Amino acid sequence: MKVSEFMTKKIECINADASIYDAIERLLDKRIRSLVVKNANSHKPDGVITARDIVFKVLSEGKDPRRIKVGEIASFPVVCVSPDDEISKAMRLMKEMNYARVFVCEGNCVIGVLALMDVMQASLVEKARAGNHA
Amino acid sequence: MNPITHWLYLTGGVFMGWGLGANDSANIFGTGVASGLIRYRTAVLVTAIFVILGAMLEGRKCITTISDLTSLSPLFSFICLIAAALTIAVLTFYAIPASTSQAIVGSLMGIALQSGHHPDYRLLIKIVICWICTPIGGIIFSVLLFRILKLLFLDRVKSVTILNLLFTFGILITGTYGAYALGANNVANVTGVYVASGILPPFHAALIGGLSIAIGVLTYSKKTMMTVGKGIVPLDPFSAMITVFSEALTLHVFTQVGVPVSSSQAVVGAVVGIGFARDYRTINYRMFGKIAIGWICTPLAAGLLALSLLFAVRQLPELPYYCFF
Amino acid sequence: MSKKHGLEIMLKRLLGKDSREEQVVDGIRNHLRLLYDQCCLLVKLLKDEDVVLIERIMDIEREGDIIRRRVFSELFEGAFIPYMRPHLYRFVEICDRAMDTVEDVAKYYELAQVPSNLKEPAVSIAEMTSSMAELLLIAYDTFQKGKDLRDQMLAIRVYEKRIDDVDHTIRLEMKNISVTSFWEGWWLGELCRSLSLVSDIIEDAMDVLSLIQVSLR
Repeated sequence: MKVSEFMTKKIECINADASIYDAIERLLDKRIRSLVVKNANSHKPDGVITARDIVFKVLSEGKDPRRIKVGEIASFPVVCVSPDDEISKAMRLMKEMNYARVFVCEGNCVIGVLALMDVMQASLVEKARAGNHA
Repeated sequence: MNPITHWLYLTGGVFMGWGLGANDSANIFGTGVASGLIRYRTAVLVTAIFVILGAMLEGRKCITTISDLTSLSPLFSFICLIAAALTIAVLTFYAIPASTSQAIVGSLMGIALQSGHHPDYRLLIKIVICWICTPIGGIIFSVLLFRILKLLFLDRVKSVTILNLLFTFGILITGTYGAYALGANNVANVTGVYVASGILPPFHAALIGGLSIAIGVLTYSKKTMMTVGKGIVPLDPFSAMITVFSEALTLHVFTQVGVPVSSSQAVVGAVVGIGFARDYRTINYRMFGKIAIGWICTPLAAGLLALSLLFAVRQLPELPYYCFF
Repeated sequence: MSKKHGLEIMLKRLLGKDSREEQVVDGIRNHLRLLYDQCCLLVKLLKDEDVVLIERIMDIEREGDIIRRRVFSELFEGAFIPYMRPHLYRFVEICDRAMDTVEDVAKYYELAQVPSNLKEPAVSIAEMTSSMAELLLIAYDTFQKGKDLRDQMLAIRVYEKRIDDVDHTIRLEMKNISVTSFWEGWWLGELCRSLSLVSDIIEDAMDVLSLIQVSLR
């Protein structure tokens, strides 16, 4: 089963110069868990900031989310897979790197995200499809 | 004895058999007919044939018991049947699963007490024990059959079409067996007293009893089949099949013991047994209450009725046809 | 496994041919197959914008109607025990409704213009719907073998949820689309509504299928 079949195409981006406070606002507003971080310099690769980063690196440290920029705590670059890759490959990558999500890229452009939940759903569907052979 | 009187007396048994056939056949193919699985015509035909067959082949076992219970005169046997039939009619009206055998034994006891013939008390005790065991037998058989047949068929046959076939034939086969067992067991209630009074030899009693039950099945069973059948329909087809099977088995076992018992009470027990096996509640404690009331009420009412009929007959002036008594 | 199989074959031989039931079973399978084909055509229609396919989708709906009628008359003439008939009627009816709805999508597609920003999510819904139709077909085969339907049920629910999410984004996008007439907007709205409705109906069909299975045990 291909990555493209189960990736989520709805991705939200944020500028690396924006404040953490803006990021929190976006995450809560869209009810998602991660944002793609775009650099002002478009040659640099994209990064990612997650709810986990914000809580562990900013809020729990007692820092002021308005003063810190997204670029300071985001992870660069994003881990990419191709939409034509098998989901099993993405899953291996996630396990090795201990990541909860990998991004789906075409060239330099992020076109989707594959999170743990998507991987679980994909494996379920795969099992169901094999139903009549089992 | 005057042949006209002879035939007149027999009408009592025929009437009793007719009522029994009309009522109890519903316990056999009720589910199948009410749910449209079997056509009514087919169901009654199969029931009639196998009731007669059961009565002819094994009916004697229970007839002997009834005739051994006490001895009585031809008129008394007629009164006995009329009293029993009336009791059944009244109790059925109040939806108490009344048993014809309880009614018959009750009225026999009433007459025996009045006329000074001492009944065989040991036999009576045996009969009463069998009555109490009937619903219990239904429960035990249905739990066992459910477990065994589920293991044998339901768990092994996976295809929907085959399962469908299995249920269709299962209900037909268990129904046929049910009819046979009903004939074998209950014919004693219909004509057993005639053997006791010497009107009929056992073989003729079985034949006439079987025929009269069959007539009841053929002419007047549609309504009860629909109502009783629809009462059982909420059960799934497998459980319905098991219910009829355990009813038949219960009746057949008590036939071997030689005691006529109630098919309705066996069915109630079987449905409860399904509830145990399936682990859900089909137990209606009020139904058990009703059965218990039936155990006491039916023989008592039939006995009292027989006594009063006897009393009424004795008050009548001596008319010419009474000289044959 | 072979032991079980042996018993089934024996029963079949013993009890004779069961052509009427087989016809119902095969009819339903063909019906589901058509639904799957129809969903695949819908994906192609939305993706390639090939309007010739609209005609074919409508043809398939008619074929489905014919099968449905045949199955209904078999059931009416007494295929299967009465206990199962209502469930089977209901299952066939729901599948037929799914096919009608796919046809609706195709019809509205002919009338309405799908804006470029909606094309991609619409195709994605259609793709997931066809996966659901495929899963329903697999579930039906699994059902016939009397095996557990849990996997297929969960998978169908997964797709349903994902379609709901995409449907939500379509709805959010829609408010930015300007239409020139009431009917244009209406058709587009109906197109999107029917498109996501198919998945709901397939989910219903799956529920009925598992209900039949549970009721027989």
